[in-house]
Amino acid sequence: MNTAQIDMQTNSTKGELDKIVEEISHVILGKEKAIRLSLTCLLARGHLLIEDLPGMGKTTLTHVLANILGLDYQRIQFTSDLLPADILGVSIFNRESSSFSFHPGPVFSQLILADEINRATPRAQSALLEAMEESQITVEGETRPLPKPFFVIATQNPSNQVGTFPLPESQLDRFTMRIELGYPDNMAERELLKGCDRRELLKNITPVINSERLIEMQKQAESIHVSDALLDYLQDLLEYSRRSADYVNGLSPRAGLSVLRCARTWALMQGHPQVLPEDIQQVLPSIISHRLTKVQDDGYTTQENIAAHLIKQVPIP
Amino acid sequence: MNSRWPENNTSLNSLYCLGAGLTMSVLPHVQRIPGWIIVLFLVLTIWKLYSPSQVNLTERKFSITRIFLFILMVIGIIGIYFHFGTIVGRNAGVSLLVLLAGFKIIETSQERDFYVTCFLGYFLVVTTFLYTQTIGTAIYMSCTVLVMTLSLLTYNDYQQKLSYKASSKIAATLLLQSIPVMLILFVLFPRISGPLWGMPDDAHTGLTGIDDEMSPGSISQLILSNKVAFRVDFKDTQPEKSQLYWRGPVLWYTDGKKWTRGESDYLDAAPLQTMSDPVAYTVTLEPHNQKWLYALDMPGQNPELGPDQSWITSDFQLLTQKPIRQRIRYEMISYPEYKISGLNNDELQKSLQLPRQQHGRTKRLIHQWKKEGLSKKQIIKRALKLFSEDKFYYTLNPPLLENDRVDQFLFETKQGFCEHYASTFVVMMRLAGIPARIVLGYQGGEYNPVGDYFVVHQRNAHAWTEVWIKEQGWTRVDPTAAVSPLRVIEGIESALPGNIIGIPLMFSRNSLTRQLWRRLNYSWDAVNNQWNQWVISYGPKRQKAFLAQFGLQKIDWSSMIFLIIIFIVPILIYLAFVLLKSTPENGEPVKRLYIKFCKKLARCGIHHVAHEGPVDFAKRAALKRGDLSQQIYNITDIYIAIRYGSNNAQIPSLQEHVRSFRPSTN
Amino acid sequence: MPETIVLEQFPFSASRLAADNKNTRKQRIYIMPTRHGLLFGLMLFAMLIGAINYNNSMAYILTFLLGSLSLVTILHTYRNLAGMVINEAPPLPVFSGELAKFPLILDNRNRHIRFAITFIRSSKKKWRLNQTSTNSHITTCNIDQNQLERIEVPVRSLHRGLLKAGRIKVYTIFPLGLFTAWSTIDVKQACLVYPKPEGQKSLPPVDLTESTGIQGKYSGTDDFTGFRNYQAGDSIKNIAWKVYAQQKGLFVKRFIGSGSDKLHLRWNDVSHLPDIESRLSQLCCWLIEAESQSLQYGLNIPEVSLDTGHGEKHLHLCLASLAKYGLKI
Repeated sequence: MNTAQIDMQTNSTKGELDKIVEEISHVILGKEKAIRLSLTCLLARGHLLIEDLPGMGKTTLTHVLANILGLDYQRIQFTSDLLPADILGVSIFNRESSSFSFHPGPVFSQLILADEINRATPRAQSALLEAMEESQITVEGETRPLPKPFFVIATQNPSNQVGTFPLPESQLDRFTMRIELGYPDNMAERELLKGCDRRELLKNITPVINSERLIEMQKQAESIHVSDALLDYLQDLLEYSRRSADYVNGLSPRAGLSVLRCARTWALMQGHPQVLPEDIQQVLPSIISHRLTKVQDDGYTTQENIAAHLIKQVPIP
Repeated sequence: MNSRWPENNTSLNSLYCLGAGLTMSVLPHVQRIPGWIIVLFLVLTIWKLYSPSQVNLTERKFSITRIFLFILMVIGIIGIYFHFGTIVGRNAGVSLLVLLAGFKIIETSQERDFYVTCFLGYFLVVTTFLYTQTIGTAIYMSCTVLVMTLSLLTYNDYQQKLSYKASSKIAATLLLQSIPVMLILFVLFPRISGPLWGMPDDAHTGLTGIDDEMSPGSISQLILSNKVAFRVDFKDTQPEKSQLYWRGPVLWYTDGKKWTRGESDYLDAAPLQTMSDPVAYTVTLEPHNQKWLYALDMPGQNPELGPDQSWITSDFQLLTQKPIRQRIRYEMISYPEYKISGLNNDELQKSLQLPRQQHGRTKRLIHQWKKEGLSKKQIIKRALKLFSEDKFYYTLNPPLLENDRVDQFLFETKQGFCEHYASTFVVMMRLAGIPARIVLGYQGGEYNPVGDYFVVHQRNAHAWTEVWIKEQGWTRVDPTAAVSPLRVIEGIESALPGNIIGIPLMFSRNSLTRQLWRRLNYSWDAVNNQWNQWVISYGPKRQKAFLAQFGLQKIDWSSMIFLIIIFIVPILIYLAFVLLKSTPENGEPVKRLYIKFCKKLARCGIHHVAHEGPVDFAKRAALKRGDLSQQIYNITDIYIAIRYGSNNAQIPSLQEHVRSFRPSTN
Repeated sequence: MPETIVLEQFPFSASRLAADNKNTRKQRIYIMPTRHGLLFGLMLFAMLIGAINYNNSMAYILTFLLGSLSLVTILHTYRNLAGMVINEAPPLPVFSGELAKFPLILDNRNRHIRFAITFIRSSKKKWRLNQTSTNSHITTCNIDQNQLERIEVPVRSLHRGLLKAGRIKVYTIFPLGLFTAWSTIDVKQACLVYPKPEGQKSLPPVDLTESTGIQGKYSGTDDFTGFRNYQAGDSIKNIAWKVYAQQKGLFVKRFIGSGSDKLHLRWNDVSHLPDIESRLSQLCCWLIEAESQSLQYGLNIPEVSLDTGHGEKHLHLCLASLAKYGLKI
């Protein structure tokens, strides 16, 4: 394939993706960056954590994404009495056949919305997180593959709310991105109030692409060119996070891989034939903000403007 | 105080370097100091290097090893005392230093020991220079200094971060950067002539040259030496080869065996009638530990070495106040054609002195000649004729002479070289009543076409005679020439076998390789000559002459120190500038081009921020300078394609674009 | 934002650092010969005397070479330190008696490696050549070109409260150990020192009136919830022997238990101890114990009252208030 062909392909994909973004933007108003990021995360085979207050449109966004990408979709509402079996499925002892038969849980679908994941106990959380990591689950000694593609979008209330079990840092690393939706701006809010019910809109959404096309796009994103100079930049970023005293722990290699994969997808979405430092800078905040904790002056940790600080400290080589 | 890096107690690498450096600085002394000291040194060094921690003496103050080593050292010092009879002389001192170095290195486990041992190594390097200062030594010792410096460097290299190669590079850089200042100091540092205090007695052994007496075999030993006696640089005209008689001491007295100069004569030179143009030349004399200089027959002036340092005697010897122990350089004028008139009574007596009751047969021969009625001139001719016609041979290996040397030589063996001919001839002349004396010196010399000068080797050592003829005054007569005319015309080389001149066998086969060898030899000698002139013999006199070339004839100490500072400060500032200027790492050419582009934009007030991506920067710049947006985007696109798209084919295009990008500053 | 310290750069090198940050402070670099440097000078003098006495050119050359080598070494030693940027980072809290580690971030923005940079806490005594008192700890590191290096200067903490590192001397004797270039940096960061955990480990009785048990669910023993395959290490008590008896394999019964207890540590609990410090030490010990047992705990001491909580951050808050108790900070 010559460069021209690649360019053409990239451009057509960009067109498709732009259309998807536009569609979603009709439902979720004024949140294009968040929409693009979540789409990037899915295309980069990552799992997404949306953290925000209730009522900001987390669930709606997930719904729309599932619909528009043509994925089959399950929602798991995490509560404090949720058991791992409720997620993964249970083997029930069948007295007649004198054997255990497996009833698959909601995890066996392409897109899972784990709603309010921090309400459940750590045991239930880790059941899902293990499934996310391995794309397969082991129940009762038997390994069962999960469908492909497999995405988890988890939503989480800010952890300072009552009755929550915040995800431990080690688990947070399994989410490729964490985004916040935030309040809509003035114009979007006005439109939201004027317009019709979002639920109605949801029903009208038809899939733009199907899951095969999605896998194709994932592959395409992986073929986006990455130069040594760019890898130098990425390594400098990782290195800085590890060596600097500003952070408690440095970024893991998995984080580095996630950044690269997401930057590729972002480049694809922007129609770049190669990954630019700007692509990294765009995706970096949502990838690292839940992985790094900044050390405060009294030796303790805070969580503010981490990505901006990191980007500012590391010159582009 | 403990070693600074507790985790690698005196790192091994630096210890190896130290051992290597010390061994290198000790090895040149192998010939000069007793073998057992060298062996002891090597054993101690190898012991330390083989098991560095085993010989760790920090822990206990009195361990068995420690006591053993102490006893060994005391024995060593006593041994040196017995060997040399002293421990302060040059050789004894060096032996002591080597011994000390051996015991110091085995003791090295603390920081201080390491440094002391290392500095001892540097000092040992200097001791070698007391013996030899050739180019070879200099090269060898620079390597040694490099290794010593390397050991210091690796010792300070925390966690041994540097490879040997990298640290050698740093050490070499350090030394190279020190050379300019070193040169300034070498040229300008005020030199003092003469030692500050007496030197050890054995400081000047091993200097070769003509003795102030002629005893049997003294010259034949010299003839086998390949060393350089002096080099001569003629100003304009070169005299013919047969004229090249380099006058040294004049011998008057004989006891029948030995010839000596007798008491020094402080009389002024006899009047010299010059009969030809003067020959001007410069002599660079190698140290020979004697109180005279050499000059071409006949020297016409006193070679101003300094006030009361040298003078010319009535028999035209050039004497000096102090023995020549440094290579010196002096300018001379000589007159190949001359006439010396005047012979006082004192001299007449001296020039007719003979031992009593000796040379009976020779006396009879001369009597017979006198009876034949020969005039004095005829007697001289007759004697020379005797040598040339009566089966006399020129040989460097004459039969041993006993009893009456002159009679035996003249009537029995008839084999000998200049020494025999000259002494026999003078005896014959004196018997005939003709005043005669022996002149020692060198005859001939080898012209070096590479350096355009003459080299006179020790093998050119020669003895000839001068006789007093009334009409002509003192006249040079070389009886050897009568026997072996080639010896005088072609030089001693023609009379010597090749291996003495030093032509290796592989070169001596045919004339072409001989030529090649000679050529190489000339070049090497020319280099050595320059080295000697400018480095080794750079002393107070040479320094004065050198500075005089720049109009600094009369310069005192303080202004010399001032000069040194004036020269050194800019050098150091320049070095500091080179070392400390902090240029950002530009790396690849593409990046450099982009930086150039950014600099051009910076002139318009648009500054690139280090963490800003190229596209973002382009957008910002284009926003500020709409008129340039097209160019900015163009360059950015190409830059991105190269740097992030790995499309290197576009580099020239980027070059072109950046070059032609000339934003107007408003 | 902590201050950035820049070790003086040579006058005519473009100071890129100044524009970087308004918070920068420049520190002078001093150069002195080390003890070995003085010894080297002595050796050079001896060599020079020898050279003059013997009028030996090569000896002159070597002496001058080594002399100018030491001049060049001054520059190299200076360069090894000059222009280094040092950032302080907040030290992590320690317990009294432990080594407090004051992290420093060394930023080498030059093209050459900086070798063997050594940090030592300056003693109050007069500056001595190459001082290495036994109390101070030495930290040495190399910094690669264009790299950051994080080092920690250890200081022994003696009392609870805030520990100041004070002046830290940074020096280097690279390359040849003949000269030392040094500078002192005033570390502004203070390290919080918790009381030393001492006392009995057993926790005081839980305040039952507040024990509610609705805060969360842990694996417990109350309600049966299902079976699971037996894994090595499971309690034998929980094996479903009935199922095993039916020869269907080993299964483990699973239960969910309820309830975590709220533990309030009060000043009264330690009033039996003689002095304030031992009381604080006892409280400190209990706090750590409570955290390791995953209890919900709170702290009530004069002037400070912390609600129950759990987790690293909560523990830090509690310990910090113990550390600062009674001190005017």
